[in-house]
Amino acid sequence: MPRDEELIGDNPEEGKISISRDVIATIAGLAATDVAGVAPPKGGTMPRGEAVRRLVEVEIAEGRVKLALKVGVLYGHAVQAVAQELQTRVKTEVEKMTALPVDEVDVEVVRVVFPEEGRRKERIA
Amino acid sequence: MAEQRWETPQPLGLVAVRQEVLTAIAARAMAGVEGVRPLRGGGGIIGILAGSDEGVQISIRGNVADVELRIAVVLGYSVHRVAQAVQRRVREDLEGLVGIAVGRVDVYVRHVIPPEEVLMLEERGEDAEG
Repeated sequence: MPRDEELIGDNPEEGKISISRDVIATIAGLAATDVAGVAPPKGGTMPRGEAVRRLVEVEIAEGRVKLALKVGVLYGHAVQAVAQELQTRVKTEVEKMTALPVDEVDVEVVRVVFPEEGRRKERIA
Repeated sequence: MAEQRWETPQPLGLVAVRQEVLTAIAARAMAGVEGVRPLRGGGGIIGILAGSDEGVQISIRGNVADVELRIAVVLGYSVHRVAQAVQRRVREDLEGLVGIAVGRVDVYVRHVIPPEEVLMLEERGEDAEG
């Protein structure tokens, strides 16, 4: 059975601290939406708040984290550079906030988003 | 066998770029060349804006993308020059915006369109869009 929680602190005097997989996904997702050039992987607008965790798959094994992200990239941004910037930002942020080591951040760029896509959607809405 | 994604292992993990990303960027590069119309089922500018890329085929082999383009050239433009410009733009954009190495860019000029017809297609495109 997959573990949904990871213990990050266990002090017999003070108690346990555990962190859920969703929290890690949200932290990673928020870091990801901060990177310039990142666009929603499906149509519509970029998810905000806790919904950003849908961008991220989290695997935890023996206190180590592996992340996989699916994103779109805005047309005009260098795809490979955006993907690598994502890896760095997401790893840094998750490690900083959870103190769990992140071994891997896989990024899949699933589409490119052209500027007129947003405009067309607005007109319909 | 051609792959569906361009995969590059990086120090922090795998980066994968789906073929659709390459196709969309190539289609856009091609559409920016004067005198060219990409070929697709629907016809007109509608297809470009809707992101339909039937005129573009990309095969990924390891770290190299080979490109096949089917285009129509507007009558009055030099077919050869238009085709060369398309080759150059598509290569530049794939290399510059995606970062993948480009092998062959084969261009098949399948039609020439009289300028009046281009105007018609564009008008229809705007109608359908609004």
